[in-house]
Amino acid sequence: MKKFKLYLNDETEERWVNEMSRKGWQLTKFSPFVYTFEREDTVYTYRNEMITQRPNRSEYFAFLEETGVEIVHANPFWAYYRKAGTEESFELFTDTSSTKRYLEKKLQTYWITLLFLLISMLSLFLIPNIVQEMTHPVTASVMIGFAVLEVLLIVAIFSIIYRTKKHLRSL
Amino acid sequence: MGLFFHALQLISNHVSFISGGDTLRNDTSVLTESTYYVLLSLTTPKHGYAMMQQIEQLTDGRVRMGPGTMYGVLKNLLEKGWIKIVEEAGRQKIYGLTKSGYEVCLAERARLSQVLQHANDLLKGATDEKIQTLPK
Repeated sequence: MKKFKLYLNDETEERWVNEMSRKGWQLTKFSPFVYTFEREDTVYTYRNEMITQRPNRSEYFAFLEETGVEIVHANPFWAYYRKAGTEESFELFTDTSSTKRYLEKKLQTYWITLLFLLISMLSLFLIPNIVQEMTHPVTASVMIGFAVLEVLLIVAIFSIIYRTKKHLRSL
Repeated sequence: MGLFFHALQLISNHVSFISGGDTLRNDTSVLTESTYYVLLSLTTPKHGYAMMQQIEQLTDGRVRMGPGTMYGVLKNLLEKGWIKIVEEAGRQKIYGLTKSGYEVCLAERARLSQVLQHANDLLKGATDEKIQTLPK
């Protein structure tokens, strides 16, 4: 079964994936909008992790597998893991210092993404004659569409940063 | 894309507003409880999962280490030279304590026994009646 959803918050996404598992639907694959589930009655606990800042990914995954964790699916940015059992039995980070470090790394990646978006937005103006070109209806609508998308993404990232900071302060 | 992230990460490590100050590298002299338990557990060499199980068993489930936390602790201890990889069976690594790691264990035991001594001394004078009269 495929589900189409857009989550801006990885913590609410994880909660939803675990709820699906309780209902007998097990996540097997994910992409930004599409989640693939398979029918299986085992109770799993799912955990996600941002892995952009993990330098030695295959070594880390091998370590997780050694502890009985299954790597469900991973892309260059995020990974989903699972382990059979209740929610309390599987937590990636169990003390304040490692949780804090993970959140700080996440925050860092969000700032970098924001910077990347701002640069890509500003670089539009480096296209020669862009201002004159804007009078052309096709160019103008493409540009406006692009700008609207970028602004939406920037707002989304700001909200994620705000939430991550709030979580960090609560530790 | 990965390279791009690493380049920006290098820059951002030097810009405090991005990384949120100096909190990324906290290197305190006081060991965290989980780190100390890992060191103690390695007085006999074992692999990561065996450590996690032993620590949970020893503390009756009070100290539980998630694999993410455990991986970070092991990385950190290897960097400090307090533990080393004694055997590599396939992808599984067996870790063991080094001489300096053992010395850290002894120093931490001395610190903790001093804390315990102080707690015993100071709490001895605090009877129930005295606590009752303490300002709320």
